[in-house]
Amino acid sequence: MSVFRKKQRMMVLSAIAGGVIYANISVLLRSVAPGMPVKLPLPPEVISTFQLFGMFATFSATNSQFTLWGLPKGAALSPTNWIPLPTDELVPHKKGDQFMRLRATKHASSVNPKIHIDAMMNLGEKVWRHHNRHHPDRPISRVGLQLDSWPSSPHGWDTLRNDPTATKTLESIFWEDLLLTR
Amino acid sequence: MTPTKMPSGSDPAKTAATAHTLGGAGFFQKWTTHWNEFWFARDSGYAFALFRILFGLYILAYFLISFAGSVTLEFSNQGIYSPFRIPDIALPPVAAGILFWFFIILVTSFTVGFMTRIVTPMILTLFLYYYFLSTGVRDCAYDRLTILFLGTSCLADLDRVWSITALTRPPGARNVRVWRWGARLITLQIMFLYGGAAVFKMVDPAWREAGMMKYTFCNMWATPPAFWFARIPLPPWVHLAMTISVVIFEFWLPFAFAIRRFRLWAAISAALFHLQIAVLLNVPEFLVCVTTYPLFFTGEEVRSAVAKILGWGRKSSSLEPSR
Repeated sequence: MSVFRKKQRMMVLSAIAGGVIYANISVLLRSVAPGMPVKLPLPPEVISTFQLFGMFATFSATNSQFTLWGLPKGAALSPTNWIPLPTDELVPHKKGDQFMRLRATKHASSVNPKIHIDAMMNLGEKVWRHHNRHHPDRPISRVGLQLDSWPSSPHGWDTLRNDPTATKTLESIFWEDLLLTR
Repeated sequence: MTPTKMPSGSDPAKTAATAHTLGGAGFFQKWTTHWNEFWFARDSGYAFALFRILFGLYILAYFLISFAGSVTLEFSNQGIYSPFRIPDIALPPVAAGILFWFFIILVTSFTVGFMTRIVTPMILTLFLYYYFLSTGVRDCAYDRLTILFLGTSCLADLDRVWSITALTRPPGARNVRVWRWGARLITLQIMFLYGGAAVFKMVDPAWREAGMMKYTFCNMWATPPAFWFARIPLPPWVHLAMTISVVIFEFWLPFAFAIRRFRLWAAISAALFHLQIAVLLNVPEFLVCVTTYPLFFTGEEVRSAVAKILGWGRKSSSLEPSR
């Protein structure tokens, strides 16, 4: 490598290194001091790339899980007509992963709520197509997403889910009519 | 990076002495010298080689365990996924399957150090494709770390030793010393990760409560050992102490990695920390951090440690290059 090419390469690599250091400092300052009047400027895409340290940022005494539901084709839009879809087969991942996928977590963090709504609609359509492709004998016309919540317990993930005395909540999202309560 | 010899006129002491006599311009020159010494010091390629092998094995394990059984659902146009920032460009199931196994072959090639310079950008491209198509929806830090490490790997010299490529090179080209740039950048990123996590937790009220540890061991990430631990009737102050100890530990790590005498302990304790997260919270993906720890050490330190572990001092190995 000629001296000139070597110097060019060193300059490019130095610029990359300086950029990575700058991005980390900028994101760190934004995270720990969000009220700071002057922020080191950074494009939103770069901020999200370097925002690496927010895992397990909160905790809750409540467990939550999404379940998928389908309304059989021709059935009336009544709460009793919905059938459960095999959520664990359709989104075959560990519980935390499954939750974040069905919530469309990345899209949910977007400042534009339409991005999240579009992602949920897109996901619902994929579930609908997948079910009807694999079960043409019992097609569905609508897909619902239900968030089940129940008190957590050290005795197991599901322990208080089926306990009739525990306080539980159900929140349902239907992709065709987002945020309707079932 | 094409290996070259150190220029004869780069004596740091001489440069610093000259800089001292030049005032403001001298300060800049001195600073530049220090910068170049930090980023472009040369080292044998053993630390990079061990990182390449561990990082490659990590990506292989991650993709094979998480996605090999669900390629159609995860990455094909008959699947259930949420593309982010890109159009829905998933392939039909058969093509998606072929692409997935091609990706696995590329990562295997990376791991064994065969055509590394060509396959690394291809792995990065495909990883980004999978990320924006499907896996990125989870917004997980370990995926973004992997992207940063792959991006850096594209510009680093990873296959100088302990690789198929090294075996095919003429003997004189094998043990050429390479720039530390890639190692510096990745290790700095790791230090920012731990230090940033610690500072973030210091200002987060949730990390000053006993409930953080108590309820995290009963949540959607918790494994049976975590539930077992949560059933132990500990007083709240123990949970609080555990919570605070995590913050202190993460705050200590960047300093420990920076100071030579603590470096090995930092690597061992951080690896155990990530192992504990894998066992209790079912997030083994953060073991990607552990694959970078060889880069905190010099190539010679890594070579002698591996030689000691594998007994290369007593018998020769075809992978151990001639010295």
